[in-house]
Amino acid sequence: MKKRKIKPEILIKYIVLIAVAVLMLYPLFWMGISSLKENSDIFAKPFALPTDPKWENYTLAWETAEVPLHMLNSILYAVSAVIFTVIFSAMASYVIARISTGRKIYHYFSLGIMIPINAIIIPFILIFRRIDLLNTRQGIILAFVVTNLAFSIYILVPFMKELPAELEDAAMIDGCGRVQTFLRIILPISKGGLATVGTFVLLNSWNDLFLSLLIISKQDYITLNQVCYNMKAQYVSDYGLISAAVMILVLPVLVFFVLFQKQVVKGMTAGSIKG
Amino acid sequence: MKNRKLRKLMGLGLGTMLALGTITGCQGNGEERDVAEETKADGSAEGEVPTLRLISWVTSSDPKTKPTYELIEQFAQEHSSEFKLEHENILGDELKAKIKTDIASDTVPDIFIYWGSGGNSTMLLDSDVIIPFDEYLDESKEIKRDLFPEESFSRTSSNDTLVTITTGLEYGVWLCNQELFDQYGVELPKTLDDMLAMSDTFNENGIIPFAMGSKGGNPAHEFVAEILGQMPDCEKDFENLTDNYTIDTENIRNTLDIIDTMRENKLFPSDTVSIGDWDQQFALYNEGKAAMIYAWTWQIPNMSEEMAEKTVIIDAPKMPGGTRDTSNFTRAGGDMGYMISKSAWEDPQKHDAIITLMDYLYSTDLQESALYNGGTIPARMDVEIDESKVTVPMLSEIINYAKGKESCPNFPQTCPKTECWTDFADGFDELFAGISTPEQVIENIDNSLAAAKGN
Amino acid sequence: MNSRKTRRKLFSFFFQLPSVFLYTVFLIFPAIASLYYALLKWDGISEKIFVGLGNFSELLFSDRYFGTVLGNTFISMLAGILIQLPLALILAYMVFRTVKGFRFFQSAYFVPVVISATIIGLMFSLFFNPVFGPVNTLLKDIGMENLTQNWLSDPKIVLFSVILPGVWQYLGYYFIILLAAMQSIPKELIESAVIDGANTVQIFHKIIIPNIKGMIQVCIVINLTGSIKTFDIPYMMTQGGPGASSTFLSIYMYKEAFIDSSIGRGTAIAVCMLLLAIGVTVIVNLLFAWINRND
Repeated sequence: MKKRKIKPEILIKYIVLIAVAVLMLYPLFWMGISSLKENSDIFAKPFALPTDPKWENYTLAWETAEVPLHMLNSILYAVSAVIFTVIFSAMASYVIARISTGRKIYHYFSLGIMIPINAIIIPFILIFRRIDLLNTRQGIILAFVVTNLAFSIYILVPFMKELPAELEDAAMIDGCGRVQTFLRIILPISKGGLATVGTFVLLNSWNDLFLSLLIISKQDYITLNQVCYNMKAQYVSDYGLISAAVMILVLPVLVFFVLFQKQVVKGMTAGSIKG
Repeated sequence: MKNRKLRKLMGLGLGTMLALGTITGCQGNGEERDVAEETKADGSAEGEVPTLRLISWVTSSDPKTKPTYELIEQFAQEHSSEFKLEHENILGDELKAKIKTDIASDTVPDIFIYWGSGGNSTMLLDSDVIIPFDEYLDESKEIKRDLFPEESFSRTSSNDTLVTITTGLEYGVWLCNQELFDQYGVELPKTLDDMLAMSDTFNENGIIPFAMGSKGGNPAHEFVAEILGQMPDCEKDFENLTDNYTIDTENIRNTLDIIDTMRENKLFPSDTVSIGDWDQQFALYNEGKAAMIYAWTWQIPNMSEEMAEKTVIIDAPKMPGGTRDTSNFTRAGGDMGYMISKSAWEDPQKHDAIITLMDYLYSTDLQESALYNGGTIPARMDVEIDESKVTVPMLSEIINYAKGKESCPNFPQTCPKTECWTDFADGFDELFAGISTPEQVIENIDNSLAAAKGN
Repeated sequence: MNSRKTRRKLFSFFFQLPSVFLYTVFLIFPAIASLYYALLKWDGISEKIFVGLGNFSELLFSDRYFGTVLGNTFISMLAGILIQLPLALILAYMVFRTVKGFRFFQSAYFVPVVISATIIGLMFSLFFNPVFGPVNTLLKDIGMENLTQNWLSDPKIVLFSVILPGVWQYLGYYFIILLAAMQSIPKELIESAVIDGANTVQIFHKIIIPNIKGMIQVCIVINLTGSIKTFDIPYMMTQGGPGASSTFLSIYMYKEAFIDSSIGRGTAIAVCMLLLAIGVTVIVNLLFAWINRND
């Protein structure tokens, strides 16, 4: 095999790409090493690797944060939010994109991505109280679903518009009803788009603090993110311990993304790019 | 085409109507249920156990408060025939947003921890969200006014009505890192001039002379009050603020000028926003990067054993124009206590259960647990402090130093309107960062106070 | 009407129903209610007093901070579309034209996105600590002591210190979207351009850009509306201080409504945010419609 000469511009490109990767990964790495340190080490030698790794931070974080319970809560809320949001937004997007091709209803939904939830929180909570959903699991799931619907439809409609019409027509001719077509044809071929939407709903729900603080504050129901926040008390903070808890919080979504990145990235393709 | 549009509109209209229907429908249901509950209350109350919603800062997610949290759980279990407890935690300033949202949407928790200082509580009391605390004290068999220090009541009152009693006492003390002072041959400061003189020496050696910061007004506002506290008749300045809505007085001008002088002479860290808030300010001192600190006892659990050994308590250095004998002056604080929702209090089902739970929240058991596990100084005077059980370094020493000395109010407690507090916080942030002069700060805060007075 | 049409209508209706219903009840109604709150003087407890547009005129004409806050928000929006998006676009193109390490870069750049913004804010407030924070420590260690700054209390700098973490965190978000868009361009287009002797830069602006224009538009809209809503990171870092130096509309709204209990005023600020968001979205859409027409 002959040795290929590396072109200088390729070399430069890789240097840039790797430098950016370091910049992107460093803070997480920093959090990782800090999670094995004491407060004083974090302050005195912020860059140094922990000389005497304090693994107790993890056991302590695991115990005090009651990770199994709260992680299960987080997973339950995020996964339910993903399922409902994806189903509802897929149904609506299908109609908007392929049957009624409505611009108006699409605009109506895109209004939603501009409404900051903080801005409408008081009437929002008022409704939740009326229907008795404060401090319930259903309540927080519902809150996640409604706050993510607009964005999901905003992304899914252009995506579904681009799907080939032939398959759908064929199914209709075969005598499948609309519902059948939707379930058997549309959902499977929109897998990519659904994966993207699902990922963002998952991230938003997993990382939410504002809504969870206001809707669920009962100790048994709170999420892992809320627990991490509670650990950062106002007056006294053990940053090593918090870092450990944060690492526990971040890890599941990180693993999820690495496993499903192909699906996720694929989902952002085709449909949505046509201007 | 037209048909489609029409259909869409119809769909939307229908959806909206359905939505409206559901909301009003649910409202109806709610009312019905309320009625049902009331009849039950009138009939046999024994069958149903009321649910009490408690919001506290005692969380199981913090090792320091976990034992106390568990005690409360245990107590609730023992009394499960009387009430069912829903214990929630919202920590830090988010508690304000939570309580305010709850109030606006009419879901006030039955018992909740909150800032008793007038600036925070007046609104709650005036609009009947909470009860005057005496209503509870009158009925309680265990908790009485005289169990608590009289002087703490002004901090938890709104226009002379007690709204709560603090769960813990706090003291603000001046601490010096003796090791650093010895190392650089500096005497412990007794006056402002001493402090200014030590500034250069420490700065040249990369040591911050005095740990102080201001982010959202923390911890700066306590320090401003501390300096003002040395001024002659400073109580009048605080009263003047509450009654006349102004901080434009000679004492306050003098105080802000002193702080500006300190800043100019580089006593403070250069980036006061970044060093702001309690945890980072204290970390600066605790890691040996600052020679001195004005600290509050709620920060002390953060102190390492090592630093505790090097630390000495000093009398507040005398400020120019100050007339106070600083050896007998340590400001006391603590204004967070449990408040009782008025609607829950008037609910015959919850009434007795609230008293039972409140009695426990202020019991010696909990006071001791908070002291020995978390370093909270008990507010109850009948708690004997067993120094050998106090795990937080220096705490006993500080209590012995501070107990019974003269004190003075602070700004959150004397700020007449809730809506003005952010202007104080902004003003102090700007003053410490050196982007506003004392005159500008006074002018801005006074403008906001004047505007609030009109409302 | 034949039965097929009716069936189709029924189907459309029921399929849109859950989304339209939930969205209308839980988002649009509260938004309309907020419009009403913005016309009130209300602290959330006492009597509501109707003041008409009073809150707005107060904000516009007699508020000490509102101008600064609006300016800050604009700067943050500009940083998003002038720095973050171009960077994301260039990086996406570089990675797109890379074979080795493609998957690594793709995941690495996305990592910050998965961390909650509150945590990022907390982390950066430690980074910018002047005494023991890594940023100043690093500058001192490499002998550039004169570059050390009061990152969070110098009013000239603080705005950028709080914008930067957001730019950093969500860079990967736009990177991924744009990369995905590039991947969906038919391979033949690029191959034939290469055969025609087009260089990297030419391919970028002759083929890539025109083909992903739609997605760029989506990104700009999400980016601008996102900038208007940005809250967690700056709030964790400075709470908007000192003064209003690092306050954005969202923080100002939060402080007014929840710390100061001026729910009416706070909501009026929220309405300004909403109008701003609708305004920029319309402008961006018109702009792109114009560009498309002129192509």
